[in-house]
Amino acid sequence: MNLEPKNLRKHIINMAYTGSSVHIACAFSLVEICSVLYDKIMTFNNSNPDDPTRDILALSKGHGVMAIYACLKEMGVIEQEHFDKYFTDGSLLHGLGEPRVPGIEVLGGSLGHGLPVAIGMALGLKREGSNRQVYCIVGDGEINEGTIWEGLLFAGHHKLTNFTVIVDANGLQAMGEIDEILNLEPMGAKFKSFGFHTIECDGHNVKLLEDAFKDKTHEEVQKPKAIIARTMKGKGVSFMENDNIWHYTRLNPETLDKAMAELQEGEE
Amino acid sequence: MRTVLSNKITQSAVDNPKFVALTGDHGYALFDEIRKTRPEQFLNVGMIEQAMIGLAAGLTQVGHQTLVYGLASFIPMRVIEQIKLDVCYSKLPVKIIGDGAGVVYSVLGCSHHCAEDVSCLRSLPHIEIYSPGDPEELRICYDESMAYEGPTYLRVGKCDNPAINTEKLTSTKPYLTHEVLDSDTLFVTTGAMLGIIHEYAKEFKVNHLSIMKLKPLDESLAEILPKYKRIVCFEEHTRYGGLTSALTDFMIDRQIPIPTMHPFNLEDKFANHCGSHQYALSEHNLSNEQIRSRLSDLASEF
Repeated sequence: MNLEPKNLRKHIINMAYTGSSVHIACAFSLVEICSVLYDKIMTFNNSNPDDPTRDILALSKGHGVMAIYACLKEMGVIEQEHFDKYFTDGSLLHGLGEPRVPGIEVLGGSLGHGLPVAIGMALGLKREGSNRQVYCIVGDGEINEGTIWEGLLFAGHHKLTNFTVIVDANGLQAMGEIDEILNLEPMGAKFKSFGFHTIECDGHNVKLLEDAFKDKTHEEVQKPKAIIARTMKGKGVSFMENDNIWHYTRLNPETLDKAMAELQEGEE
Repeated sequence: MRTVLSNKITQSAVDNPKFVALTGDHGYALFDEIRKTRPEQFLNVGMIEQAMIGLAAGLTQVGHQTLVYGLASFIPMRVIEQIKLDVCYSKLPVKIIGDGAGVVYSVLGCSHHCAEDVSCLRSLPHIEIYSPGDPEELRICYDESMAYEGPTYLRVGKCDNPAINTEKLTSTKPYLTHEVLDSDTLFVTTGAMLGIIHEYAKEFKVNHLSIMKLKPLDESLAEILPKYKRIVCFEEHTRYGGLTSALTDFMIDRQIPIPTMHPFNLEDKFANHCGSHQYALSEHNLSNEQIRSRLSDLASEF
């Protein structure tokens, strides 16, 4: 099992090319977050994605689902054949997260849905006294949605210490820069004021992410945790980085080769 | 009706320690009993209706039994996409109650009127829809909806119409409240129209059928409906997608010839003026007096 970010990005590129899929840059910004969660943090049974003792990773930002698919492929939860058939008629994997797929916990296509559902799970687990954890990835663009703030208000009020929200803060949304469309800063102050223990870090630095996930301060102060992961849309392939056109652009043989060459750089 | 509902909700909490009733700050007296006796199984989430549906879905996914309550103009209308995606998609057994359906909250105005809830929900996969008309219908609808393994919507309308049922119902199947063997006219009601139309059926000497479960419709209707030459449908709901639509859809899907249909329903408009429930209905030609007058005009056919 190789959950190295570079390897995951290769899977995403291959998959996006096979399915002629858009949303490559949306997936690239949260690769390290998913990698660290599955590799270092979460309790997850690869041979049974429905294991009732598992921790939950809810991808509210469904547009980044290829990053999760890539992890689940490495973990053996989703078989190779489904990647070979990506977007073909009758295939398993949609372009946005749907919970009929093994390992996908919430429906993440319509933004602002996954977070309240994930908070409901955290509430239910807390009521049972379970030590299972719920992690939820939202996009910074996604948090335009009112349901996000409804959910955060609830999680903060009910002191859901088993709940961690990770903001994939790549600074871009579908049609432009977040600062220009609907400014969210100061984001950290917003989460703090909603009752979250808030950590900001480089969302592509696996060590810092791991530290942020392992930080237990929120339990001491009896708050849910927010990790604002400062990321870059398209991270990992130079010509995609911070270029919003890769929210919409499909790979062609030329850009496929160029992207793969960058991701394979330094390998034997 | 509300006493029945209050007792039922409290009983669900007693029966199942994992039962949780959620409300978005509505239903004050309705929850008095559960708040007093089982406070840990009652959750006023605040006025976050949309997130509340997600919360209920998440709670259900990890093994809780959830009931979500609101006024019909908010639950389901404000949260229709959450019901579709968070609940119906995964066929989660979230039990949804929409209270004050129709134009019950007449004086509060259009924000609190709800003519379209059944129509919107009928088009969503997996969800079952119940529309009781008196306390006994409510009781059986509640019990059946709780037993169903998927999502349900319980539409609760006007509470103070005369109750029809003095004996226990054993199922939510359509049933005749009044039978006139030599009449080929059938009055059909759902929800709050039950009591008054039962009276009019007796007066006009025609048959009256109560349908409290609107989705799916019971297959017994395939035998009942063809017996009549004309069917008069009564509902405190828009013409589009409600009882009349459900019945004609049912007949079309089964190649049953459609008899003469006379729909009585809320018209395709918002309220113009303020007034009592009967006044609000009168703007739709649906007050008790107007219904009686319209039926008198039709009576020569009966």
